[in-house]
Amino acid sequence: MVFHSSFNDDQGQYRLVGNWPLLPVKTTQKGPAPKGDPNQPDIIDEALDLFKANILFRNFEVQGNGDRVLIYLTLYITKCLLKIATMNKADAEKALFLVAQEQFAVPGEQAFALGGYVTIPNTRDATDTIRQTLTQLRLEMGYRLCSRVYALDAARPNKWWLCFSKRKFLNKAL
Amino acid sequence: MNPVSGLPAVIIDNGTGYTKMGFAGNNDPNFIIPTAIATQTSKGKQTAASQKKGVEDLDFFIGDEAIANSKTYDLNYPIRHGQIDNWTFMEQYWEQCIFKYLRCEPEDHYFLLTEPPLNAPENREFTAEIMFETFNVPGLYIAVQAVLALAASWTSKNATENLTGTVIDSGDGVTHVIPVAEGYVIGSSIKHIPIAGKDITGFIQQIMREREPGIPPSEAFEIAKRTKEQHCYVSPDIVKEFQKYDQQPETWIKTVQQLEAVTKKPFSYDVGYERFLGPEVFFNPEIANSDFLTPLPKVVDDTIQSCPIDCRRGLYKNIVLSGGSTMFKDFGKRLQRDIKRSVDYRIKRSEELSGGKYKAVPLTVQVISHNMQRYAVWFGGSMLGSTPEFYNIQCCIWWYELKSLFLPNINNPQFISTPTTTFVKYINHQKTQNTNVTTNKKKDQKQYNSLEIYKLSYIDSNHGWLKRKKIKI
Repeated sequence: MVFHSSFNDDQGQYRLVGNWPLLPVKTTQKGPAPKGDPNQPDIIDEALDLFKANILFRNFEVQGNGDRVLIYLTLYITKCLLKIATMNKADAEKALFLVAQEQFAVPGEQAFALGGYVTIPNTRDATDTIRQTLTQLRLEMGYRLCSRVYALDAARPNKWWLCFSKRKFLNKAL
Repeated sequence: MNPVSGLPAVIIDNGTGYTKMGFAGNNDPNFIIPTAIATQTSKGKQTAASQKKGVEDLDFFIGDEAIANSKTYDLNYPIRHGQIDNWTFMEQYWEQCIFKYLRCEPEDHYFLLTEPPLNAPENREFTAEIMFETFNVPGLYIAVQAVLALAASWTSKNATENLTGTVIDSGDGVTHVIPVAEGYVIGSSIKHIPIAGKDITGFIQQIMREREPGIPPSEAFEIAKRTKEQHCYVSPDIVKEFQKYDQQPETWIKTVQQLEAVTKKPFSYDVGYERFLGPEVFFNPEIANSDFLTPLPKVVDDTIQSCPIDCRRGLYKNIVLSGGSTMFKDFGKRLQRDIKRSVDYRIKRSEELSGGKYKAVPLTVQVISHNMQRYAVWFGGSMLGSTPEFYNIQCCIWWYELKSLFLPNINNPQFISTPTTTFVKYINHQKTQNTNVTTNKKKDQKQYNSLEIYKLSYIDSNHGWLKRKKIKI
């Protein structure tokens, strides 16, 4: 069975935009997410830990709001891995910084990969909040992914990560 | 032992992938060879042996030799999905098994062959015809593989020595889950899963192809197979397993150096995640295959739940593994844990639903692993074939043939199963059935009469093993 997010249970603890929760993130990047406890794993650690297991599955039953963020991040990791396949650490960090901030789809837009999973925000403000929180997650994810993928060798990405980049989680891609 | 010649019985277990053969009483089969035959069917081609006129039908190889000669001969696999597919080839195959490999006189040995559960009666008939008329064997016993696998598990110290249990038989092609109650296979509850050895090999090959560009494509399959056989194990939790590999790659990831078979160029590859991801396919089929999604523990649970309610506890208590694909380290442990989990959940639910009024007696789930798993069926045959009682078991092909006559009279056809216990038991069973006959149609009455004739002729024969020609039905 797929591995679900541990942030599913904490109902009402996090601010919601539609059904998208603003989960705490340990980051210095600007954004609407609350500050995470530096001693606890946050959603980004969790997504990185569960990535190799979850990427193998084709079905994912969303059991809570945390899962929505987890799915988004899992797809984003795949996108990053494809991007950095031939780069060294410095190039990869730069590339992922750009990827995080490029034009990307948000819920409510046709191109958004998780249409159906995430409710469409009803106000402009809500759309902006989601866009900001996604940017924040993407920036932080790019940074932490690099620290894991280049942990052993700064010149080349670890093949034990890259070997999962060709799999299509839920048959979707960002 | 044959009462006349004093020689042990010959045990041959013909599986889809491999044939295991040897003599009763031995611990291991004498030969394990692929169930493959190489024949010279196309005209025009000439080999050294076929140039001598009149011996074309002797010009064939079986087993490893067949595969070695597959360039000049036509390679055939006479068994498909556990059942004999081509009888001509099978007859030739047995011929070499007996005369070339085991090197024995079939007239002097009793023979024990195996069959898959729910085998068609015609197949037994053909088998018996070949054995009795071509090879002139003194006696033949066709045992159900699942029952032999159960018997083989008696070597384990945890085993209960009875013939009730669930057999999980996983070879190369297909995995069966077979419930057996007191030696009777509960045919209606058998389940098959299209996940077995070759799917795991394929999955490993796919993972390694994506990651290891160093492996030459021509060797990929063999390497995947070797990885499966030598390095794979079952992990309790794949997320934790991934973390272990990432934190201490040097202890978990193995680098293998090898020479390419033809060019002799050296190459190397790493063996990593596939060590536990391969067997994980049994527990999460979704990761390798999009058609079949039910995990093995769930299938086992469903199988037992579909059996008659009074034998379920026995079936949970004695889950027996058989076949090469159950050999992964900790396979039994994980299976037991996962089945236990769903059983406990169900009991808890029903206690809740009863409002706490009923307390269920805790249910034991026990998966039995033992050293003979790889040739469990053959070993079970060897064990049974070496006991003196075995030669008094009055069970033979004719038994099976009668089953079809017998079937409509049973009140609940679900309980009918392939017979495996003694004939004596069968007669008793049948007598109780006979008391009901008055209520049945005349046609059935007639069938019972024919049964009586059969019984007489059976008992008239001087030993339990039948000679075909003595029997009239």
